[in-house]
Amino acid sequence: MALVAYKVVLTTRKHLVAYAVLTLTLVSWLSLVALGLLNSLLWLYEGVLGVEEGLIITSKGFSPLTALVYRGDIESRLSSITDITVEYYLVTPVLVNGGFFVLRSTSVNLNSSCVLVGADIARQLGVTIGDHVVVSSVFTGEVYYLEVCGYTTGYVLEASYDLVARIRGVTKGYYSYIVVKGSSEAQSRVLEALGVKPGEIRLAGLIVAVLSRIGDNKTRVVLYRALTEAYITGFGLQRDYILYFAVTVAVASLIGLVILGLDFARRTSSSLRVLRVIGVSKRHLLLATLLLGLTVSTIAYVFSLALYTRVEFFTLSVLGYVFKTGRHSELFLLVYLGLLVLFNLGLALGVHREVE
Amino acid sequence: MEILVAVSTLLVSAIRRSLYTTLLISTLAPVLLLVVLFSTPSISSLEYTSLMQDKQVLFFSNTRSSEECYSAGIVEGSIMVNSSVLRAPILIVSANPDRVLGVLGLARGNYTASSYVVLPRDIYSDIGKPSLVVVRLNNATGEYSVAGSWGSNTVLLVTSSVNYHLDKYLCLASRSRILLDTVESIESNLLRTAELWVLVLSIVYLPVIYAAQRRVVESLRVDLRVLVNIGVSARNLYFSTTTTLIVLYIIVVFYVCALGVVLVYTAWSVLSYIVVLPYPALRLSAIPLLLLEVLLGVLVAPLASRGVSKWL
Repeated sequence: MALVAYKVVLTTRKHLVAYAVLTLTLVSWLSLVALGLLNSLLWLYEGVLGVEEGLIITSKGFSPLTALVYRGDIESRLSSITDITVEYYLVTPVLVNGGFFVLRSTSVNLNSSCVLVGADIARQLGVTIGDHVVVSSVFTGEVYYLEVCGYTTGYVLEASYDLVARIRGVTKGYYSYIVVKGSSEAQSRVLEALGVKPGEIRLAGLIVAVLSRIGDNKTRVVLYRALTEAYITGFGLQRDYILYFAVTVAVASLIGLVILGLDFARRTSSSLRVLRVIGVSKRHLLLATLLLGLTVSTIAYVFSLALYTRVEFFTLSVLGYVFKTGRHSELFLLVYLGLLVLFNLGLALGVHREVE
Repeated sequence: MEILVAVSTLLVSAIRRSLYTTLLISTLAPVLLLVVLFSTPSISSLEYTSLMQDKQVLFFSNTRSSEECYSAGIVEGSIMVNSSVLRAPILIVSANPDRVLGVLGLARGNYTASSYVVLPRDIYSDIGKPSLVVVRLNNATGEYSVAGSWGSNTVLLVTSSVNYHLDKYLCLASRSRILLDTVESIESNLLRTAELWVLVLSIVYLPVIYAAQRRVVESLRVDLRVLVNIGVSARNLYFSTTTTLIVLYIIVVFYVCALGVVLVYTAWSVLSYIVVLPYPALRLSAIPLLLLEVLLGVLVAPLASRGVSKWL
């Protein structure tokens, strides 16, 4: 009987269903956008530096752009560990045409007047291969005239290590961060060599080890789940607080769906009354409407997901770098649950009142 | 007078029967989120500039990007010392040499000439640390005093009497100023996105606001019938209902706004026990959006009041 009632309401109120789907799609899309954008803030340095996996070793500082780790120190600690690949990077903030960019060292063999430019930066600066850019060091205050010798991936400029060290104003041997790649077992041995107790090691995806010097030959190591998290913690901002804030904003943006559910029930009241008169029980009517609510919510959610992944109407950019909105299934499921619960709550209250 | 009586009757009835709750829920998302997002503590108020040793730096720009900028340009030229000729990019700056050389740590206060040259460190050493060099630019040559060397790969020619057309700028700014400008630019980008998001949310919430207002009107059906019975005309009834909705809506919007401010300050007081957070303050840029939210509700009210006289 509930299925019959469901079919009747669905076929007689097609325009109403379409209207509800449209509104729910837009609200759900905005909720996903809020969650995705706020969450993407937590992956700023990973996005800019193109760090996605492995073990990252860096030091305590203002940001990875100012942190320094001595290569000799790390090499001596990791000398006994085989089956790992270690990549050393030195990064520094630079000014190009008054804009702030990141310059990173590369293992590609480049001469001392050459720079590789990220495709997005090249577009932004309007430069192609063979053009020159004037790079100013934020640390030494010196100005460098460099030729664009090629393109690179990510939102960075790349140059030889010697040139980056000169621009950064550090002596050779210092790096900003080190990426260690290898099996989980090898990474565990690396962490142990850095001074992490075996019980504290949890390897999953990305792991960041931040070293801070506590004595002449002693360092302390703190582990984080992301590079950005490691540096925002220094300002007292916890990753989880930002995540809770994002979830609160996303769920709060759905709160009006209760009213939409109530309105949907009011608009179907005549059909519900007819069904009640011909003998459909209150329970079956409620079940049919909730089934309808489930259908509408699910269709709207699928549409909103499609909108979220295909339409880039909202973009968040920091100094020209456009944040990549993540696809975090557990957070997206939360939006679906919010949509389902709030719309159906309104619907259930409305049907209860209308049938009475 | 008739409208005034009708409005007050409907308002009192709506308030007594808590009909504002529906309106409150409908405005909660766009208004509350607007207040919360625009009250987040300013990142630029964090005291991180003190973490950096303040120092003036030079940067090259196509525009006047700082308060202190000098005309500049880069040309390919050559420097001649004794019999050797070296080709190098030459950065020409039209400025008082003391000012620019001082930033590079080269000014000793005894530079009396109008022009000086700073050589790249390796070239300076290779050619025997000369005190005078001849610089050739576009077939014109000139002899300049060498002020010292720097780490750059360009020759710096600072001159107060420039004969070249310079269409770019060499600007001077303190590191903390650059950092602050950068952080402020990040913050303004974030707020611009938040502004657009709240704007779209307010528009998307129009059907919700309409549904809430319509619900209020339908709940006032008995009161509307009483007003008709005591002789209120259909036209006045429509205007009274619309006015009641508008008044109720504006009260609710400002109530939610106040609620948001209280919520932000409460959350800040609680969080400040755990983390050091700058003081939150509602930014003025939230006001146009708040007024837009009010305007949208006011525009929807006549639609929600449609056909009230036909029911009775």
